[in-house]
Amino acid sequence: MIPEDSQERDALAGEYVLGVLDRASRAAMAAALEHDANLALRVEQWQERLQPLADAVPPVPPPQDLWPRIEAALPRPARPKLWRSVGFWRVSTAGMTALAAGLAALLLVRSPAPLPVYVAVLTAPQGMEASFLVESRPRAGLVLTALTHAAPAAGRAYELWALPPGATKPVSLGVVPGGGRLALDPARIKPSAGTALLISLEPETGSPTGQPTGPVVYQGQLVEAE
Amino acid sequence: MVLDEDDRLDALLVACAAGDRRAFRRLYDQESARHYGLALRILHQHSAAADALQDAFLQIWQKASTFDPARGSARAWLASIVRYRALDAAQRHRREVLTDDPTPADAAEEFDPIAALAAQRDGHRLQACLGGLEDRSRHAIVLAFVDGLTHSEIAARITKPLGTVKAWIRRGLAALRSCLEA
Repeated sequence: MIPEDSQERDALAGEYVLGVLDRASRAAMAAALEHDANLALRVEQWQERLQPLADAVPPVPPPQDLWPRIEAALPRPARPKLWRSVGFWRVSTAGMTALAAGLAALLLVRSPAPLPVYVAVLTAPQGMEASFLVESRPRAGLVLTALTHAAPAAGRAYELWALPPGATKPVSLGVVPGGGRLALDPARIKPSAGTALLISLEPETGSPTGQPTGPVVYQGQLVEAE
Repeated sequence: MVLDEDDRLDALLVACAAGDRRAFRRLYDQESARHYGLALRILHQHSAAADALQDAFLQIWQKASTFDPARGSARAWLASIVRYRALDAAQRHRREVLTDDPTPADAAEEFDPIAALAAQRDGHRLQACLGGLEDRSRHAIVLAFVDGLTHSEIAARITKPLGTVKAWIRRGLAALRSCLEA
């Protein structure tokens, strides 16, 4: 039912996005899209191409009672599944700041009191993947958590550093333990927006000089919740 | 910090994926009028449009974790969910309801989609490429996308054979794609 020819597939994807297919063809497409990644990509491309036309349709305020209906129909709150979100893992480097802001908003919602909330997402310098998360917790202060199983080679360690805005030398926040989790010493870092966080590759017991001696392997920046 | 609209939508969807209902509420407050406009345009009736929007937002909540910003914009992801729910509803409804009578909702929303493109983000390019199509292809494509008409509904509306309408749309889509990618 779904053609193999590239041009035919693209035409069908365009017709699906336009909405011109009859009910049976539409259902067949929807079923094929579940497993046909190439077809799904073509559909996404057509959605992007035609999106300005959707934006052009004049907005109309929905009925007042619609939100209560939607809220009442929402499934019971599931356990947060952020780490399973494709968006979280695949968000582009440019989107990292926005993502951190999103997380900050999320944490703010959960905090009992509206304390300033800071978040940083650390990625490899050229990487797209979020590797470490630093977030402020109501009681524990700033906490670093590894999001992947990235571990340094045997005999080496990751060391975390803070570089506040205007500072020229990073301050060590300690060696990241094997579990990838580290509560940051409030005496050594005062949370502030724009503070860079760096992870360098060091000898097992940490940098012998008090400054990074190995390459910076992950980096990010603290942002404050709006 | 200033985030652009796309970043903000991405962040809201990521927060929805994490189960943040307040982010979902914010997404609804921010986007629902735009989406209600789309659904109403396709379905003509307020009750049907509201039902479609409800289905769409429940699906957005449940599928937020599958949104992948590397593959496309949140705007198009959201609008597509709404349009597909409205199109599904239209195909169910049109068996029962005669849609030739323009309803008050329909009449209130008279607008020229091509002209309106000029004010949209990335709209100039699409406007220019649509403008380069044969009139009949452009007309059929816009009727389909904006009003949600199927091949056979367009054929009935402009009293042309079904095969002819299909050919115009195919030709128009192919030309549109090469123009947009040029």
